[in-house]
Amino acid sequence: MNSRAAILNRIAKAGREPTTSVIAPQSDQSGCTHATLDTHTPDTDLWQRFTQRLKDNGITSRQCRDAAEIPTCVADLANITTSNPQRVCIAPHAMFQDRDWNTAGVSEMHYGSWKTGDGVAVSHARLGIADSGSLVLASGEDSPTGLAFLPEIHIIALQRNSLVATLTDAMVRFAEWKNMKRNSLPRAINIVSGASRTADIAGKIVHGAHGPRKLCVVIYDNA
Amino acid sequence: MHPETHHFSERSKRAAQDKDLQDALEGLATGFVARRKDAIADCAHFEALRNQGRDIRTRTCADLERHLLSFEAKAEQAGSRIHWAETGDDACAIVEKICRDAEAQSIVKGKSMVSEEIGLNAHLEASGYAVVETDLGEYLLQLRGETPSHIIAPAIHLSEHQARATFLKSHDTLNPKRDLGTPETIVGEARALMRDKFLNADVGITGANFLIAETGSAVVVTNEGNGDLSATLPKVHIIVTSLDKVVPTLGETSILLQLLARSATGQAMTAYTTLFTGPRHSTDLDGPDACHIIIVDNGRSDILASDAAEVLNCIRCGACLNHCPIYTTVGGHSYGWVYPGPIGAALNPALLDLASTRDLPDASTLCGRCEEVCPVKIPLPKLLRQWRAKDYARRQTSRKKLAIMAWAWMAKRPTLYALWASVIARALKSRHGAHHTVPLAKGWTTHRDFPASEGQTFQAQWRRAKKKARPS
Amino acid sequence: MKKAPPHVEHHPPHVGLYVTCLVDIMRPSVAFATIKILEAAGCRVSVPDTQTCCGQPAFNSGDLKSARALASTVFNTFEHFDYVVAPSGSCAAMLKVHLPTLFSDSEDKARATRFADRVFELTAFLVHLTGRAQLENAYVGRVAYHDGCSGKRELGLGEGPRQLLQTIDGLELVEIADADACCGFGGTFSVTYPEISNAMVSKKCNALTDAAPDILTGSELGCLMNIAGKLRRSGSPIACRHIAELLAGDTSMPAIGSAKEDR
Ligand code: SF4
Repeated sequence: MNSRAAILNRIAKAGREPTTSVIAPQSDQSGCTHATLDTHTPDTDLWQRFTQRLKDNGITSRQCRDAAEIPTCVADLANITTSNPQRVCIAPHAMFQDRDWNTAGVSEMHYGSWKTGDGVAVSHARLGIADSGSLVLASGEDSPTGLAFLPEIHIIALQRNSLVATLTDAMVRFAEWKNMKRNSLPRAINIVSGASRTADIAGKIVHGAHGPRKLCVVIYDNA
Repeated sequence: MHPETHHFSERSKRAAQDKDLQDALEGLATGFVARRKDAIADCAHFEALRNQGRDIRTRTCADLERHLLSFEAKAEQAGSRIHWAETGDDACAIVEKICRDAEAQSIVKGKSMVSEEIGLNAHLEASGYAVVETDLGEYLLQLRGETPSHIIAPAIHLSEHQARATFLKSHDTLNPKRDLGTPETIVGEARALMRDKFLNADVGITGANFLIAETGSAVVVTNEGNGDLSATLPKVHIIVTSLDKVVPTLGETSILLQLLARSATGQAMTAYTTLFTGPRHSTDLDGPDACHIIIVDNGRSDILASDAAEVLNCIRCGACLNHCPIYTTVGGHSYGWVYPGPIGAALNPALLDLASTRDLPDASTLCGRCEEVCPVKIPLPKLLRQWRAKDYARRQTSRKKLAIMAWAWMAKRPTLYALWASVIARALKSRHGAHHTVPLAKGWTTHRDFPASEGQTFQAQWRRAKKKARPS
Repeated sequence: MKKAPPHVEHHPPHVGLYVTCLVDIMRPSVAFATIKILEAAGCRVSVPDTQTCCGQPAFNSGDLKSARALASTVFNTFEHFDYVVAPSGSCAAMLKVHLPTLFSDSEDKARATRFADRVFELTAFLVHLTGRAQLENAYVGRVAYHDGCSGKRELGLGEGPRQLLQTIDGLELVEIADADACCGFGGTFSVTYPEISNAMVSKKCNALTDAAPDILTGSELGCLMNIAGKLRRSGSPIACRHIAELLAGDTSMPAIGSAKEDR
């Protein structure tokens, strides 16, 4: 008998009867309660909660009306000036393409994956989570995962209508993100809730353990 | 990791008197315990979450075969390779073969308790591979040749000073006069060294906090981001995990994640929670070409059939350790194996054997704090009592067993018991109010006085008082 | 605890006092204080003289057979009372929480459960009677309460004991840090793992020294003996007394581990 069969056999023999409340492998039938907030017209409470949580998590945020202002916000958040030039790695996301990065002061930039020497990276979030002050990134052709872990400063853009209340609200949506070709989720879905940190030296919290020392969010209203 | 659980008695004795260790452990109370308290105060529905968490874990374990099969099918559909390992050695051999096939030169590794349990590092190193632990705490321990003393803060027993000394000694190609005066500089040095390792590694090994049956995903929770780097940069990602980690759906996983971070570090969410599903897609800009998931049994399927099955509900948050008065006094190394604290005392006898671990469930006041804080409400004191009962039944005689038997024999005989009680009551009287020494109670009186009795039992006094009130 | 006893209660209610081994042997004044309190609450109190041990040491040591045998003795001795009251959280928890888990036979289990419903730890019973107790007590001084583990976590005593203490004239309640942390007694634990037990009771005593009450009280004589023994060894002036003594207003007996009156 191979290992798989032997293990599954023992589990089956454990004879623990499936209880009546067998969980259907469908998230919407999981029996978990999700908040039913309409995430397309987020109420002010939700926003308040989100911004408060971002602050609690040490995440700096900026708000802007228009996606065209993202480059200026990025330059501002990363403190990019002529005396402090930084190479910025930008996810090849539609929302970032054809923007006027140069005028905003971001002169050294490229789209794509992180390269050694890139101090700042900009990604686009699929969702924001109010309850925990988190941002959800999903890997794909417009979103390399490394951007969240390799630069010194990571800046995430979030469209205002992508805010949900709870982690559960966010996670049940992941099921809709299936890649048609493989019929599976994006390779990596990152729920990011702060800069990289460690408490392994005598319990003291230090930022920038392996990944970004600083995490920022740009929240924009419309495309 | 080779179990040394039978040394608990001597080790804990030494640990309780080790000043440095006591200082290091004191940080747990101000750190984890206080932060957890705040995080829970900030989450009005935490108790409801706990109930859901317990139900999710219990239902899943009750129908584990189905959920594992569904996980396997979904993970394979996503392009992962699933390997089943009956024992730790099997799992190590599978990892080694994957590394060999990948022609790996260097391996980076995220923190994984299952890999500690099966002794993966020792195995790979013996086979000639260089493995670097990338969690800062684990890295420190690797340099020092030590084992983790806590399930989420492996180097909690080390002081800042010890961390600094370790780096100065081990990183001997760097300038010995460099500044390592603060935690920030120590972390900075590790970051720089580790960055190279990440960028050059061929294989990345991580554990998984959860496996999601609905999607075939593995969830990895970290604060440092080392798990993500290990899973993203090398061309092969190996996930070493155990069969109890499966959760049916995304929604249910979200409940457990909310419990995990708050209970573990007192965060609503840790910095990075990632769902890994298969290798890179053809259009992805980064990610490994292959993803292997090794599902380790190593005794768990037997536990499932036993009356200790509830230990498999554990989500390894470490809250029971942080709140345990025994753990916070003796530290993790006293327990002698990967899993210390209350969960270790409940789990190790099942994963190893009762004979060599009997001290662990015994060394408890059953104060119940562990159960009180456990996010999935595992009845740890009940499980400890169960092991005690098994141990009691197993042992022919011991001093304690004889004493208990004698006591019980007498307690079933009221007249004899009353006589015995009055003898003891008289013997323990003292006009000083307390005794400095008491025969057979050296353990007590070495450290504290033994309060004196009033001299006569209550029953004797009561009988007399009643007689006086109602003379015959 | 809100649940009404399953049978018609006598008037006045007939209470069987479960003395507990430690109180019987070490500190009878706690039992006398308890009787005084119960009578002041309008109860008729009886003390069966055939009572022995609730089986807790056997149960916690894994000797389930003895624990079961002792349980039957307890049932036979106490079953006919309206209530069974013990001045100890851990003995009450043994009778109330653990005895029903010892039996798998449905009849035995039902008997144990019926019995368990009527068992109360003293302060829980006073809360259950809601203000029926007309107590004459006064104590001028600072008092800290130590939550025994069984009382706090197995019986869920909550704020009840503190609220009762606050009804005492002149009493100022002070809190100690980590009041519900185990003191390291744990029955046989205190002698089988003396170093760990000592470290635990030392932490407790440090917290006490910081809070500096005149009296430390609690519902668990074992804990109080442990803490009093440590305090005395280190020369602390803090006195330890069972909560029954304070509630009954009877502090004539020297404090636990002390030879003289504390004030
Ligand atoms: S037993 Fe409970 S508290 Fe302890 S580590 Fe597991 S989940 Fe956390």
